[in-house]
Amino acid sequence: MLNLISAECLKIIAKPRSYIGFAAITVIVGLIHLAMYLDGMNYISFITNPVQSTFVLEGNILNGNLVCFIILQTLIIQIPLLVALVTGDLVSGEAAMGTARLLLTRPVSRTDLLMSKFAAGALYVFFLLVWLGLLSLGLGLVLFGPGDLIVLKSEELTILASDDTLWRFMAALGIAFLSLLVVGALSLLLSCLSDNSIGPIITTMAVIILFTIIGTMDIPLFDLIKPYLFTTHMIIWRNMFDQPLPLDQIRESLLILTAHLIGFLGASWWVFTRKDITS
Amino acid sequence: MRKTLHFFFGLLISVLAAVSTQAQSTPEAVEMLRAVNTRFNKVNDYMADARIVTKISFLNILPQQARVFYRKPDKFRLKAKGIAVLPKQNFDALFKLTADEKQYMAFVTGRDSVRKQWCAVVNLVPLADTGDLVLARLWIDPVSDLIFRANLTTRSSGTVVVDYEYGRLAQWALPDRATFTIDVKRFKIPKAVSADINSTSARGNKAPREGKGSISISFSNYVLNKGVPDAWFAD
Repeated sequence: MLNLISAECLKIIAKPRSYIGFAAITVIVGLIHLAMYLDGMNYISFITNPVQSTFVLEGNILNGNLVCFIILQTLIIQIPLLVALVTGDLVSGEAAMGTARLLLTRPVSRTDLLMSKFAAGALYVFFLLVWLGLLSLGLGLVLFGPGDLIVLKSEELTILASDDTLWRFMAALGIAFLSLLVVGALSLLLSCLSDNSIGPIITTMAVIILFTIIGTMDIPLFDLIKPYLFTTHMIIWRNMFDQPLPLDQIRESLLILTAHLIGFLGASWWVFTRKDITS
Repeated sequence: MRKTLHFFFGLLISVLAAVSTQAQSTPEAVEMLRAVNTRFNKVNDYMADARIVTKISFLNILPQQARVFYRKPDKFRLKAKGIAVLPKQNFDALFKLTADEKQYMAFVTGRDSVRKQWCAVVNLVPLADTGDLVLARLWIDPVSDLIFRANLTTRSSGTVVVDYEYGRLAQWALPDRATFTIDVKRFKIPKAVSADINSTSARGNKAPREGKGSISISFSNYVLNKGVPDAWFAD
């Protein structure tokens, strides 16, 4: 199994599109850091204006923790696309290149092959998030220094002590990892259903956009289905910055995300093991 | 006609005289404010530890530790370990205003009890109409010459009530605790700015409402009149 996983990892490494995600994260994080370094105080003044009309905020507000939080808020919406670019290609890419039949002539079960592809995709997601964490938090702390974190919400502010933030960032990235695995599993399922790479990638993004729109609109009909959409629970990473932690809510979201992950993987397995490989 | 004119001018002069009498501070109020200032004037500088407890509906923050520095006549600085939320009014603002009798008009309007202590209620109106403070109502204990409560009406922050509690350093008019009760407007920033689209809150769906918020600052370990270096006031 380990050999299969390393072979799949090598395939991912060999594809130029695998580096688009790392390049995009580097550019976006770099730009946000630069903008914050040059004009961060104006941005901070704008968002804290409702507070500053009555109160004075004393201390180092623009710090590495805040910049990292802003980056995570901005990027976590886009990262599923970067993940789908790679995971949507895992099975359908073989079909598109005409290597699927050759691959399946090897003495490995389809289940092992599918799981090794998913594991390689999961490793890709892991390293993408590690890169995001290193750049946003590591570089942020170097450029802006540590400090208390102001957690921005549209109707409330939470201020967390500087030494209470690192574990929260780690936990948030852990939850983001699970969320992105769900996206990876969905695109793997779509990849099993398709013979070209573009279809699963675009369909994955279309599903995420559709579910996000449903989750955003306050319509009673949508309220009934919102709790069952995985996109509703993908943003639970933000709740790691609540004080006190809404543990029941986090536990429920983790369970729903895990159920989606198992469901998508199970469906992928069902489709792939019964698929008539013709190319 | 002549009689009518005499009556009219007589009435006008009486009204103007009455208004000018009303516009002057009453000696009793001025004496009280002088006595209050005499205590604080003995303070050249001080340093103290501060513990800030903030209770504001839209703000979720744990108590903060800070250190405050003051030096005559108007240098004041609070340095917190992290981010602290403070009222806009400085702690020495009242003393600064009451120090110059030409800057305000003051009169005693009655007596009232604050924490079981009978106080004279002194209304203080700044004469300059450009400042933030519109009206200050002070509850002054005429025995100890201390301000127990101040109700400040400001242009920028609405009404702010400050309750002062004194202890060991009462003779210098330095409080052990100052509690600011402030009008709080509803906090709202666009979801696109906060990027919390479809977010959930630890408080559930209950949006924080407008109302009163309070910031309580407890002072301890005062170091009085020992000198405060310039470096402490620098950013």
